[in-house]
Amino acid sequence: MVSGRPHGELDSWFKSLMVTSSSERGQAGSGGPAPTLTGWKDLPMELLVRIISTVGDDRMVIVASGVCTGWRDALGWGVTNLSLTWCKLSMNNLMISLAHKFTKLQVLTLRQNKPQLEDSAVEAVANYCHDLRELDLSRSFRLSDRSLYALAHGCPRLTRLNISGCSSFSDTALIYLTCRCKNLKCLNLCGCVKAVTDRALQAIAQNCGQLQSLNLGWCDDVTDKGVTSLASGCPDLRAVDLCGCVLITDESVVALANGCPHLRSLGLYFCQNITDRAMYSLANSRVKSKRGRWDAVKDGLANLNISQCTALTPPAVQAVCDSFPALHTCPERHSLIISGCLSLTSVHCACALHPHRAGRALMANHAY
Amino acid sequence: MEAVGEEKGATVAEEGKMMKEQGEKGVVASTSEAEKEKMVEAKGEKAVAASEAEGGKMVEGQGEKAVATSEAEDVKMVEGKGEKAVATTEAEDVKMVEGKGEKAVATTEAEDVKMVEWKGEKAVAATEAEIGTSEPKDVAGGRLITLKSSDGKVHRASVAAAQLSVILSGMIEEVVTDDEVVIVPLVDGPTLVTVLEYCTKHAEVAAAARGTSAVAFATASKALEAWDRDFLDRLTMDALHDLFVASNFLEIQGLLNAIAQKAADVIKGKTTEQIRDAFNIVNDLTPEQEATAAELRRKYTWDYHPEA
Repeated sequence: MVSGRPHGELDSWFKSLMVTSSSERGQAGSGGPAPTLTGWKDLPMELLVRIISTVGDDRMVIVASGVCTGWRDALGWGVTNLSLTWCKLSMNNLMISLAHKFTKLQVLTLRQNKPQLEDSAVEAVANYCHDLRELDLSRSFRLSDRSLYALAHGCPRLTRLNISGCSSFSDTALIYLTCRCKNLKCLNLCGCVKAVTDRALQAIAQNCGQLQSLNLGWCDDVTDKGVTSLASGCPDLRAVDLCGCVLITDESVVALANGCPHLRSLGLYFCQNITDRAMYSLANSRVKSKRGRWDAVKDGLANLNISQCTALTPPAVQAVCDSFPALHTCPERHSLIISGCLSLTSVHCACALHPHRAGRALMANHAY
Repeated sequence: MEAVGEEKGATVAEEGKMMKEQGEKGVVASTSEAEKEKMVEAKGEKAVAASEAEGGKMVEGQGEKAVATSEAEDVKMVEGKGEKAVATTEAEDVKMVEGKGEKAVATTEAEDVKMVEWKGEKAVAATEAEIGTSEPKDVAGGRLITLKSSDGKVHRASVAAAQLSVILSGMIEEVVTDDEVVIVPLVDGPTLVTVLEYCTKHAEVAAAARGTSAVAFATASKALEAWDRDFLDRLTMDALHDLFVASNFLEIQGLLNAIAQKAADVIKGKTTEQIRDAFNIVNDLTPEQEATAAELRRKYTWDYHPEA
């Protein structure tokens, strides 16, 4: 016996479970009409999301959600990537309206040109979107620590967070966030002057060991103490931007060169305390890796910004250039930025000696 | 002979005679609506026999599970010696189905199929009577395969064409002989024909483009894109839907992308009402839900004022 059903009903009961194909709609057996996929309104979730993402306009999500309950539910469950950057007015209210509808969001972009977002919207996101992995809140000047506390509780799986320009956040809130969001791999703190202190960097080093990219641009309270702790606590760092961190010295660069073997990009724009010692430590880190200290290292530095680092001399920078063939001073592909350093005009990349590497004929002197 | 477990007998038919148990906890439930059911004997952990035909004689289970369901007249015996043996016969004179592997499934729809025997993990048999007459040439110069859609229709296709589908490609690897049929569930005949038309065209172009110059390849690719657009334009929206679902099931990425692009072009810049009209969708939102959604659209999108 199947759940108390008399035997005579079994045949019709099984037939009612069958889903017929489109050409047999409404032609089920004696057990009554079988459930069918009745066209576009029952389109599988992944296919509807595929169409909407192909449209390439995130406003379409809102429009399509109003077509029918099937599409509304499918998009609510299926949309994992949403950007509201197109919203020029009332992004805050829109986000509050949408947060409970799109609970499976993993990537959310709320970048604004004109500050609209407030804590209430971020709290709505944190309350409903617990699967969130990537969040862009850049230029949200109106946000306070409430937002970071909400994210810490509601979105512990964050791997990428961009809060550049959110100048109201404190280091206490940032420290709390790093204690909860330990999977962070990419963190943009550019312009978060109050949040980025040595204390905050030590917390990041302690809690976020998987960190690969960190932007500390124009956080001018940062000192060597914070950066050296980062170098030891986050050995997987690939990109570090210290542009405008005017207090750091060679100690920071030496620590990064020795502690972060995977470093590919380093921004030192306007770090005028940097001297040749820092450059030689970078060049030497490549030599160490060649000796087999770090077997996995293949490429090394591919981007280096030492613009306005006026204390540097050509031999030191040339040593870095020679150690890392991916660094270029060639026009259109330069990845060694030395603008504002008039003394470095003689520095050239490997393409000067091996023109075929550049893929085209180049003048002997590439500097500018 | 003493029974170790509990004994329960239930006979519904006139001449149901006897039930025996010889396992540790064997429960045999025999429900017969025919006239001459004689005996059900269970020697394994579970044996369940349900005979709904006139002359079902005996079901013997010696493995973990043996289930026989006979719906034809003269089915004599089904014997399961592996983990699962399931025989479903829908023809007149099927004599015996024997399963010796992990899974044995026989489905015969022709008149004079006598016996199908499996010794491997999976095998699918179909008679030549079902196979259609159209014999496309394999664009790669290789063999053809036979595909059977969910509605029982049979289609021939080149291996090169079928291999554009990740699913079919995997199935083809298991086909040993040319007379074997690959069953394609969830895709009906007309849709499978359309799928194969797309795949055949793409396989032909790919074969022709091999070894040609980059310029010739680019020209062929552009021509193929134009062909794809025309190919999808001549389909109704319902047919396009079925093709979309089928290409998703069969994992044909090129076709999936083409249909997604076509549907996206239909949707782009349209209001909710226009989308409903384009896709033949009935609005099933409640008035309250509709009002909320409309308010959201009015505030934040071009809906209800597309020119904005």
